Amino acid sequence: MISKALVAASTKPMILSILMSGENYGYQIIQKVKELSGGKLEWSDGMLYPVLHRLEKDGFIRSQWKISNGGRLRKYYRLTERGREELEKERKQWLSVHEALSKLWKPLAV
Amino acid sequence: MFDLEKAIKQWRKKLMKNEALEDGYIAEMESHLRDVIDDKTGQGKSEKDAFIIAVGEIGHADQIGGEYGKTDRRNSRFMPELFWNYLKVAIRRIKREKGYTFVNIAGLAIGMACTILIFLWVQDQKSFDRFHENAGQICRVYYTNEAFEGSAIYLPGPLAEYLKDNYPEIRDATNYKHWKRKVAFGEKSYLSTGSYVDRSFFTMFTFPFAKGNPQSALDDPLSIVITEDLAGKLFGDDDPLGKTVSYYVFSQKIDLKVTGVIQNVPQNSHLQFDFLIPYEIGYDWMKTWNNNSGWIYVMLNPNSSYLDVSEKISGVLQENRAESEDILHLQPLTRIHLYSPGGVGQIVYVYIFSVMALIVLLIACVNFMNLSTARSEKRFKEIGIKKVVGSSRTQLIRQFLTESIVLTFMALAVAVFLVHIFLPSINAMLGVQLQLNFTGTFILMLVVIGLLTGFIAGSYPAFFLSAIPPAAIIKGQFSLRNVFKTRAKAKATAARGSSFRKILVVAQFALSIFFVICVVVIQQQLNFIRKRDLGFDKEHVVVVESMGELKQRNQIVKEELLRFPEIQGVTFGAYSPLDWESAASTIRMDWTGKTTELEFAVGENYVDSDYANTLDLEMVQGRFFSKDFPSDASEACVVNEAAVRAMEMEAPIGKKITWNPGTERESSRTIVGVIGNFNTQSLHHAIEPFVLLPIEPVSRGMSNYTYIKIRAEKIPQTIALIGSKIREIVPNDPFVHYFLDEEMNKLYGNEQLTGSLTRYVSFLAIFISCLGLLALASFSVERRTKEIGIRKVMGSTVSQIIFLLTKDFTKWVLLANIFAWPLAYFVLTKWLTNFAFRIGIEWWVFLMAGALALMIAILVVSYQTIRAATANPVKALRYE
Repeated sequence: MISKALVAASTKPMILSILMSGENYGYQIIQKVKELSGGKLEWSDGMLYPVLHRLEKDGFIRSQWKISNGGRLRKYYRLTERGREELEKERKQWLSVHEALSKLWKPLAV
Repeated sequence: MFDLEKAIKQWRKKLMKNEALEDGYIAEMESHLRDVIDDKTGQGKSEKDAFIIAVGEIGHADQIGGEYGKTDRRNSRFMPELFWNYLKVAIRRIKREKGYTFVNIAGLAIGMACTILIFLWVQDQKSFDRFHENAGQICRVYYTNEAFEGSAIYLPGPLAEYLKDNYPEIRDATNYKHWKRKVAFGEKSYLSTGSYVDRSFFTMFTFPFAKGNPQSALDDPLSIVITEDLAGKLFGDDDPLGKTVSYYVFSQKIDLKVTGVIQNVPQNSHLQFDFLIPYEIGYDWMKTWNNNSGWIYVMLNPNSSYLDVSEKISGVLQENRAESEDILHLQPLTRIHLYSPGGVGQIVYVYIFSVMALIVLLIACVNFMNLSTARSEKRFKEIGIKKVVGSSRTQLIRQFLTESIVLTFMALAVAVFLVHIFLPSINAMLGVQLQLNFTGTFILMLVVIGLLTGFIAGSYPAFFLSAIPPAAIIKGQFSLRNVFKTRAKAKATAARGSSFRKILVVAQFALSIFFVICVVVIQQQLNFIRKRDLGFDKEHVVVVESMGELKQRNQIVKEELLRFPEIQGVTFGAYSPLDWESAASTIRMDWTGKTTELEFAVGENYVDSDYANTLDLEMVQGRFFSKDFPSDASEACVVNEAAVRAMEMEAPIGKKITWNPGTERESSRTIVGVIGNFNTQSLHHAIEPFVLLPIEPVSRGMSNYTYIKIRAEKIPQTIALIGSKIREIVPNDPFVHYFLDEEMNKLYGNEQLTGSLTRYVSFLAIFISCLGLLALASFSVERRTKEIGIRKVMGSTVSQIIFLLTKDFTKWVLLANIFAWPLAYFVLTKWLTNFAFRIGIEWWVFLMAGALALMIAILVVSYQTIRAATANPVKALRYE
């Protein structure tokens, strides 16, 4: 299991990264996260929507209601230009953290 | 059977209860829920199980709502269209609640008017001497001497030129030696203040010329520059340029040509004069190193620091004067008015008054806060509806702040109006000359005061009222209990509100009591000063300034006046007995039996043989000057007890004092008498050593002042008589007179100002506090109408109810004393240390102030309480 704080911190880059590969809706996003992390990264479903809402207010993503094949209303989210920039920033930060930790842990691995 | 659609509908309803969740959010989550259920049923779960799992995964509605809420609030923007609404509501409320608005605006306006006045005074004080273009570069020279504490500003004339010639940092320098002298043109003559100045005076200082050329105005030694005021008096509408006026140095007349007319000297200048004449025509002794003449000003180069230059010139007097230990310093021009040389001075009063202004404003703000929160229950409905309709807390806060700022600005307008109306009488009362000019700074200050007061005054009600939770607010009765679902919470909030109000009331009264104590103690000290035995009799002594001819013929005047029974004595003196600055001298002195190198400042005054009798000086040993001893004129002197002590003499009579020993100016006199100590300056200072020298007949030219002791009855008639007699004898001299005790009161200008100001401020503080208390009492009574009714029905007596209602207020006022007393004690003890002669602070003052505050408070609330207590209980119970 991944700690709550880390989950919270990674939500934003995770969502933005998933949306990099095209528009998507809430349920699918959660499924993807589960899939990618092998179930280790667990989000409370309900908490995703306020985060999406927040990202939209900040202008990083944009939403649109669409009717799915099954006739169900779904809100699709798409990455904006600002969102892309933000993701790039996030990516750099995460990579530098990753890099630092990797260096520290190398000797341990040997 | 489990109905999935029904379950989802119920789940949706539950979410909808949370106001933070908008329809869109819910629809999105429902779509999510359905996806999960589809998945789960696909995995073989029953619809019911799938639903339970899905709901569990989505989480609790409140939590989600809270998350949404956070995001939404952070982005709430300022909506200008709402601002007009706030304004409209504010004005509507003001119209509807006239009484409340009146109390609020009156309190605030009075507080603000007070603040504006003090601000004007502070501005005026700070503006002193800043109108000179070179204000930043001009400094006054002063010196200190280790022998006597403090500093002096009278310096030898040649110093000005010496500084200018020897120090490249000093661009220019001028002397300034002022006197009151007679100036005449034809029949008209006036006693005016004039000064000997160097030519550079006009290049250094900015005194604009109405007529004439500043560059050359003082080139001719026999020229004079006069102010427009004096020009008007002497010449009326005629052109003064080129006219010849007579200038009198005592009886000697000098004809001077008017070469310039300058605009009147602004009131905020420490240099005050009616005319200027070239320094060259001054006395010869004004041009020697060994005599102190007038003041000296220097102008530095723009990039030199006065502290550096001050350091450099510090030894100049010692180099140029035999055996001088005086150290020179510079004081910037702009500091002269507010700071005494090397000390504090007037600035203390600027601080004291600023703090007072702030306190009064604060009391007024407190009033406002009190009234608004006390009335908050009346506004619950409005707040509740606003919140339910979707108003956010920020919006409510904005609304309340707008209301208080609108009220504040209305109060501000009233305050400016009040200031405008009362300024003339306040100027007269406080002896100041303030003006209400709508300059940029002033308007800016008004806006700042308005916004600040509005914000401070409105902040508590705004944050308190907007915190009320919206739920259940419009159900049933709008009391705190209903608003806060639980009793405990309601109690806590109500207690917080009312205890905050209590703190405010206590603070108000503490400050009021503090002021009352200050008023009493300051008044006591001022009375003490006035009544204290100064060592001479200052009552019923008329001082006539003797100029020109009067000086020559003063013996005739004396004989003439002494014929009248109303006049008890006539005497002459070179300096006023209260003018230590003129009398103080640091000339080297030796005396019989001088063992060590004692150095101290000695006051010197030339007086005639009736001086001791007329002013009722006490003879301790020996005798005063007398006509029976003609040799007194050149051989005798009288010293005071402080001088005897300073010179360490055992038996002073017959001992010799020698001035300027070992120089060509050496002179000595024998002590023939010792007089009791008398004060020669304000009671801030201790009594200094003093030597009296005979004025008649050798030094008759020094008799600048005639002192006439008159009887206590028919004073105006006696003055008229003196005036007519003097005019008979010297028809051309102006008759300038005042009472000696008036002159003494002038020494305490700042103390008088503080005294009267504290008096008004304390009155205002109490008045404003009482306004607040009155309103608060009426609200508290209103809230308890029902309780009072029930108590009466159950058998309470009127007095019991009055006691019940007054108890609270009494408690607060008593509590206020605890805070006020130590504060007042601390501040007043500090203030009193300014005086060398002072009163002790008495305990009853504190008790009295507390009792007074209590009495006023009870009086104020009594109307409300008595009315409530005597009201018919039936009416009370029907109330609401």
